[in-house]
Amino acid sequence: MIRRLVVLGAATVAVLAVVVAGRVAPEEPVVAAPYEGEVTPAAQPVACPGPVEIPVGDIDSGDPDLGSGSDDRTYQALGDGTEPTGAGFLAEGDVAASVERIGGGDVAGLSAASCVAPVRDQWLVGGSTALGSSARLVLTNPSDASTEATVTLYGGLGELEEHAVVSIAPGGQQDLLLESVVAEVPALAVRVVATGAGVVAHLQDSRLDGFQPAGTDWVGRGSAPSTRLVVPGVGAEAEDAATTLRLMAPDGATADLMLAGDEGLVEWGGVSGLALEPGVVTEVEVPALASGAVEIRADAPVVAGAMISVTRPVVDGPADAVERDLAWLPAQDTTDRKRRSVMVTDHVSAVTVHAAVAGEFTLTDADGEVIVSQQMAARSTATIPLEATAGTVLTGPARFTWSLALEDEPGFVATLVPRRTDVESTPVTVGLRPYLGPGS
Amino acid sequence: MSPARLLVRAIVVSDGRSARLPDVLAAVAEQSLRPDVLHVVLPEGAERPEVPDGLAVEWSDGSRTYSQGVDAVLASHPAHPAELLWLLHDDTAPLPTVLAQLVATAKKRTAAAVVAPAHVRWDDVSRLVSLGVTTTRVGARRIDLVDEDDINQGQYDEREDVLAASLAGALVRRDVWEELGGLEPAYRGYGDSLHFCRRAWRAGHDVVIVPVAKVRHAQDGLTGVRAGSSRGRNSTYGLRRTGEWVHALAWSPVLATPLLLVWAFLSAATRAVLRIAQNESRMVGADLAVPWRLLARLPRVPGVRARIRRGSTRPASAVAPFLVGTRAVLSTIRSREMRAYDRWRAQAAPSDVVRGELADAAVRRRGAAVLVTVLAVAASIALHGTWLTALVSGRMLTGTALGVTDVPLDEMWERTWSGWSATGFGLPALDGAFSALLLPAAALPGGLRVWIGLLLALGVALAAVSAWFALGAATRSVWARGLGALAYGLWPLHLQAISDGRVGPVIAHLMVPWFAMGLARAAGWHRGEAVGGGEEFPARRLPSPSAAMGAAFSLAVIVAAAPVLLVPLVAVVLVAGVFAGRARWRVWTAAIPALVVSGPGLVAAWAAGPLTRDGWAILARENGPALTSGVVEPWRLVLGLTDHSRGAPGLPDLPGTLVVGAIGLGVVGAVILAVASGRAPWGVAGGLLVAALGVGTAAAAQATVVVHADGSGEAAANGFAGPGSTLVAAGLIGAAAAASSRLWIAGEGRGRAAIRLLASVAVTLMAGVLVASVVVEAWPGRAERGDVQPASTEALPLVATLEQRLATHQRVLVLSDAEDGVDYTVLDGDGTTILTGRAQSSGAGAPLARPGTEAATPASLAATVATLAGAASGADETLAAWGIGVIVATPGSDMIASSLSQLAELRLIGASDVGTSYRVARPGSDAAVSRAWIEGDEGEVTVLDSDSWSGSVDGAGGGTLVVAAAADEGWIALADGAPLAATDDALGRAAFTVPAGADVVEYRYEDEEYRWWWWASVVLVVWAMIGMVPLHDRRHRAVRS
Repeated sequence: MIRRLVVLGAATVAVLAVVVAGRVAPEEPVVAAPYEGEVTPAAQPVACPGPVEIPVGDIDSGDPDLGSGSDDRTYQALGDGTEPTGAGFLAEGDVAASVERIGGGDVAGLSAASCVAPVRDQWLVGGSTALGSSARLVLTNPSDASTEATVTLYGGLGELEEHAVVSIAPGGQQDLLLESVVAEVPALAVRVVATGAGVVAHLQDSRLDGFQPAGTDWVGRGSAPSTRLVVPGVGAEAEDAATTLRLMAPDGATADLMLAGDEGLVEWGGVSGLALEPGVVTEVEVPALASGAVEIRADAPVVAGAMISVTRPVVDGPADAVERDLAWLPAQDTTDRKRRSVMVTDHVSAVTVHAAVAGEFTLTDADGEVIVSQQMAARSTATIPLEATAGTVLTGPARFTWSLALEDEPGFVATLVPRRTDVESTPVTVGLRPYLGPGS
Repeated sequence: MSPARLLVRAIVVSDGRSARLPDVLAAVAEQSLRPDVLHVVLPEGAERPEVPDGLAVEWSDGSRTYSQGVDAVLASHPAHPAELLWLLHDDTAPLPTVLAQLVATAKKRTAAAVVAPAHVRWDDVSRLVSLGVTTTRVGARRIDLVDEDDINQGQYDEREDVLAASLAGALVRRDVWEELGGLEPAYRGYGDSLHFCRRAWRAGHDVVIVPVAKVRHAQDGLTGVRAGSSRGRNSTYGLRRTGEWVHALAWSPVLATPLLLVWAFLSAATRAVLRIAQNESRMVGADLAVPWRLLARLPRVPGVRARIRRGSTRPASAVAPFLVGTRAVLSTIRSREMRAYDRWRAQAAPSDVVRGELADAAVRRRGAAVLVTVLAVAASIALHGTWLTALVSGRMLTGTALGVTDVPLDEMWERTWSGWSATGFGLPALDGAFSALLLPAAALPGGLRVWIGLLLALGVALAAVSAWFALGAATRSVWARGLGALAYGLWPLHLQAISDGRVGPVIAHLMVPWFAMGLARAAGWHRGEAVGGGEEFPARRLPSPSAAMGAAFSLAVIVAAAPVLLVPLVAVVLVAGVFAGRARWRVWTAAIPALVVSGPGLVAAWAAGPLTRDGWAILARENGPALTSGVVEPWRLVLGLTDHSRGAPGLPDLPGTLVVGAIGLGVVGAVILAVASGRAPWGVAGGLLVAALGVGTAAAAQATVVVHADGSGEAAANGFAGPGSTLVAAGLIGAAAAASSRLWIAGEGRGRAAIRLLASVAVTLMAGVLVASVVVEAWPGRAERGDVQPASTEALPLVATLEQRLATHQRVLVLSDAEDGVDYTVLDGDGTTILTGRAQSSGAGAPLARPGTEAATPASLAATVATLAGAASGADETLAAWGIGVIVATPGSDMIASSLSQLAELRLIGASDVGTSYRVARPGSDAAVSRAWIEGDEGEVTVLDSDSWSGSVDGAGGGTLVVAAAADEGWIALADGAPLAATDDALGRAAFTVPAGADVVEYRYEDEEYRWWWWASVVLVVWAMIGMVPLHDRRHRAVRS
């Protein structure tokens, strides 16, 4: 009997243990938060790509009108402490720029480029690899360590599978013809992600319309994906100038586009609530306007750029043919509220300003002397003629978005976009993790 | 001597403590030839015994020793020209003819100084006690010329001359007695007869034994009866052994004395180890005391030697033929052992019928053991066979919880010996049990990599085999044993522990069966082999002291591996002891090594507050690999299920859970049957209570955060339910097995047939469940339970590990690209090492060994790492300050690698497929980055040669000694032997002021408390290890009867 009770007692205790154990309240382990820090990289020199190259090479046909090259070429490289690197150059100062005028041949026109400092992640909206077009990506590494850049391309059908990885030696430069990566993409957006201190990317967009040059310009670095962008200077005096806005949202977005003119916002039908598929490059015609800026407001980060194409009569050719020159205007982020500077080159004719809020816009030179001053109304633009000698460093206030317009006879255009001269700090998350070896 | 006129003076000396004196007097009275005079020496005031009629006794008052008593009688009685002394003890009773026989021989052998009788047992005159004695050439071992208790068949009757014989009952010529000065007092009564006889030989006399003359000798002194000791012969062992050594010292060349003393110590140490193995713990002290007793008697040795020299007329070679050599000694020992063994065997021998049954059972048992082993190994290979091939190809197992397993021996040793955990910037460790536990594996060929790999890969097989042996104590049914063993080996939480790389719970799961078996055998509860109609052989099982030591050792291992089991298993030991009857002390001692091994944890838990959650968190701490795990309901724990086993392939939720938990369900079903059957009630109840303890332990452990983030990269984790679940498995399977014992022959007639049918069905069902479980676990589509996987042993580039091993002992900072930033860790070895054991810190971040303090950790490096990630300069100063000499960017971490390439202060030293390494230079100095250095006042740097916990340098000079490790009160530094004053360091490192002109500067980590616990643990665990060797005690007294 006692034995029976012992066993049953033990069984009861065991069942009770299971019941009672269920009532133990668990304690949650505290997960250590990772360290969120900002790092300011060491200042690096700015870099410019150098002269434009003729896509098909300099072919001398014996007839100056039929040759691809031109003897009428002037190349101006401006900046403090410049040092050649590859075809381009590095400059020690905050700003530097290059401008090139080519009088004839396949790449006739003005091509201007603002030099920029290397970054790890950059977007260039522009370029085309359609028939007759060439897109030459120039990657410059101004830092002391080699870097590896991964070039990802976006087209009208979204992100392209084809991508390229380019290693650039310290202080070196590498060219990449995008048509060799993927051909027949009429509208491109390019992302360049580089290791280390990053890389400077410029894209030479050269186009031919049959035998006639259809324009050449450098596509500069645009703003990183942002929800508030402005593209100043989309207007053109010429009547048959055409402006195209190119947009891309990496993760998809709905964007509202507005066109600001000298007198305030201009009617632009059909572009509110523009749906952008992820990775799909979308092009929108911008109404002709003498002076203006496109404002982009999106619910998710987008990148953008605008291309102005200006026609000119053919000097010696079929009667109905026209030649063109083009200028690329990258979008600028209006949310960072940072002062920007640019170096004036030859052929600078005007500054195009967009004001987000009313106020006085002034451009000062390196000595602080006011070069340009204009009272602006909110959400309006102005094109102000600019008389400044080449090499002048112009600095504008933080609240305004602006760019320099370059023009020259016979209908050559280009633009120069100011850059932020402060060293941008980048957020970094630092976590403490065990390490077990490669592949872990 | 004139044979015509002999006088025999009998002297009985008594210390008044023997009750046999009247018998002695009666024996003297019955002598066919009575002595001429009979003296009885009694202590003063002692009661005089009754004297037989017709016996004239001259009484005299005694003195302290036997020899003095004799001398007192002789002093008051002048010598007769031919006087013989018949020396009798108060426990020696001569048979009636003895004196006549001795006197006859004395007349015949005129040169004999001593004529000694044979000694026989007091209660059995046919059994010999002593018939002459000799010694070895060295003299440190007394050799009896007959086997004790040998039956006297007259086989020694031819013996005459012997080196020595006991003087008790012997005739001694008075002139020789006086010439030699009586017995030598330096022997304190043990060995003095041998000495006296040997001197007599050297003095030109003979010593003769008369085998036919028999004296009953009770050996009251030898067996401790006089002293009232209950320990028998053991009570005088120390005195006897010391006497033997005194003899050696007295008779060897004087130059050999130091050698003999050293030998005495070595011999005592060896014998002490043997005593531990024989579980005669009291004899350990006696043996260890022998050399010290010898040293105490050393001052008397010169006097002894002088007397020998003066009295000797024959050369030493005269007695040489009597002395025995090594071969004779060995043969004596062997025959003694064989005799005891034979006697034991004779008592335990089974009958021929039983012998046959036992042989059959042994064949069955061995066959089943082989089958279980093969099946378990097959299951292991099915589950983790790839690990085995990886181990063979030289790879190691790694895992988030496991860390790297290729940990070198010196790293394990430094951790357990110093008490300083080198992980991160180092922390004072609470205990060193875990690294000590794995130290043997690291020391074996192949190192920790192979043995931890085998432990995990064959974890199932090892657990099953352990359970097989343990279940033998609960049941002799090979079916129940086999199925129970496989169920235990395949217990799902054990599989989880293996896959997670939780080494501690795996070891605990392997050791719990051994502990259980040890405990059962220590209490004598194990089953005998089933023979005949329900009989067991042997019929009565005796408690085994060796098994208790085995349980003690297993428990120490278990609590080192899984400290959470300390409380429940100590409770089990205590309760078991209560029920263990006379073996209770043996059983209770099984808890002692475990308690000492856990001592620091117990103290810390007490300090944190007993019965509080903090205190429990310390008791339930995990020393080795730990990982956060989902909290599951207790019924899942009973089935051995984890958070991971919520489904099976193709079967989600409850049905899947039941499939994965089928083993648990089978075991629970078996236990329900066991409870219902009422069989083996105590065993079943015990098993159920253990299981209940297990559920409670598992639930309490998983609900508690037992590992806190220690600032060196390891995440916090709650306790693992595995160890508790191991108890559940052991308890339930043990209960079911106990009830299954002799089930096959239970009942009668139809009942028996029904039981047999049911048992067969149950066995088949359980076997099917086991096979199905292996198939489910090894199913190709099933997600891995954990993340343990083989990897290359080379975690870091060779350049980095080389720097760690140099005398500068640099640390390595490892950086890898992460989703939106960078991950880092600071390494002292080749990859994150968990197996050295956790230092243990509290939830507040303080090391448990130093409550209330705060130590610098690598968490403080986050900002510096961010600087590196941004390719900004200035990080090198902090890195060098912490002795980080190498930065490694892991393979594929291009972002961080190119950031590092930007930095002018870093120098690329190598790039390989295991990472890109950069050297950090010490800012403002040419000296290499090091673990410890002295900063001079002028900014000059002297680097110390260091390991993880100590270092030194010659020609230091003054300045500040900086040890790039977290400051702690345990750090001490010495300059030319003088302790240095600690100074505050802004970074929280250990720093000391070195006076100008210092030459040899050394530093080390010293934690006295840790060291005491460490040594105590080592001594007790080694004691238990030696004690668990199943040696019989010296006399095979632990016979099975």
